[in-house]
Amino acid sequence: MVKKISQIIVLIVCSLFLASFQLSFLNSLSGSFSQINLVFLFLIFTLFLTNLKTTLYFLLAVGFFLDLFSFHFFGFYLLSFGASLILADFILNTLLTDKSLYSFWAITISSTIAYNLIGVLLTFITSGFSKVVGALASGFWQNLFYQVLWNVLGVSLFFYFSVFILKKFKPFLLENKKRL
Amino acid sequence: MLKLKRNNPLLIFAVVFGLLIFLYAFGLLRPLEKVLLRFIQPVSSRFYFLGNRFENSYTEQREKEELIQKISDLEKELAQIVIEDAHYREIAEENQKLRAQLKFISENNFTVVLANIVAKESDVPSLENERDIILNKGTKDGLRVGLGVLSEAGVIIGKIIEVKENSALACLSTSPGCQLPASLQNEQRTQGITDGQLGLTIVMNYIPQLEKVTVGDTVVTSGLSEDIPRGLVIGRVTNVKSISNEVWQTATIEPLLNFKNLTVVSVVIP
Repeated sequence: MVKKISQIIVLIVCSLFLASFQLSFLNSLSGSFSQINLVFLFLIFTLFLTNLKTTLYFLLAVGFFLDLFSFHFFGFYLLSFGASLILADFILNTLLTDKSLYSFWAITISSTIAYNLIGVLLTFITSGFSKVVGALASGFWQNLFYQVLWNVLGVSLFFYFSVFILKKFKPFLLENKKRL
Repeated sequence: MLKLKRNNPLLIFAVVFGLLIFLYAFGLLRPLEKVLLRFIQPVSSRFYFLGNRFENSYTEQREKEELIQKISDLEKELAQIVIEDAHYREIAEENQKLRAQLKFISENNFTVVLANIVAKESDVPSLENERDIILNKGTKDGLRVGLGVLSEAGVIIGKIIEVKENSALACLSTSPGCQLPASLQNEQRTQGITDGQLGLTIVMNYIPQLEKVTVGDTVVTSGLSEDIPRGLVIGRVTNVKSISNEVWQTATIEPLLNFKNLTVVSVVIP
């Protein structure tokens, strides 16, 4: 019981700092660095290593803080991250056969694109169908390309690091385990 | 097909999400938000400052350090000269002496609220150039939608577009949709509206064809918006686009500052 409560507290504190780090530090950088989405990387990595249930718990915490601090409508991050993670989980379980690096890349690329397009769609709807044309015209696709590149680089590093660390303890990392 | 079991993660997520939306919509999360913001805003401010320093050092390494320093010094000097010139022109019309920016503000009975930038955010994820800034002051400090936001040097950099109790969202004058009523410091005191372009420059629209606009003219706020005082410097004209068969001409304005280096701003309450 105490262990579970301490785990929840750690999850909440980590999520709080992660949300703050994303909005304040990473968003203040310019150029392609500003496209680093650490929250998304953590979520994808959690999904890959654990399961959708754990990932959604993590999302509930970090997404809640992002939505609370952000000036988007409340639920923007929970919805856009949630939908892209569900898509990633669907692809991982139905279209891919193993947990190789290529699978990791495939779900990262598809869910990054999905997250950005869902974000555009939500903005489009909440702005009264007015903001999207300008958004798509002004470097959206180029920035999306950089975001995909950063995420692929990030998950590759995560992957090799986890294989290096977890190989001794969890040799079933590459096993296709049915989840959900 | 998904079976809706009690421990189905999607069902749990949907229920918790719905509950959070419900609680937020009825303002029941406001006390929690207040406590969390009080706790996290100093941390966010620190993160933002670190990000800013990292950004600056990265840029300086990329370019030749001396050249950047020289350009930066000259920009500051130029900004100061243009501000002083703009103030002089404004005040000369009222038969007053040239005053420094802080004095200018105090003598016009403005209330200035100093605020830290704690984060950046854009409407659409991944649009870095069009990110709005989040300030650590809100309605409880007297901020409201429409107020002008100034840099430390006294240049207007944008306006408040959304306010919460403890924080505010301000658009930058270079972001599309961030409009400011403006006037040129030429003979006719040409008026128009500025709008951001791609997060890089500012465009002044609705300038009548008969008005004479010259490259180098200083653009200041016109005072047509009751929340933004007149005479605050927006930038300088770098290009004029005038097509004879069109009703209006447009001018491209270059801001006097690099908005990426800002960490502290002041909000003017007239």
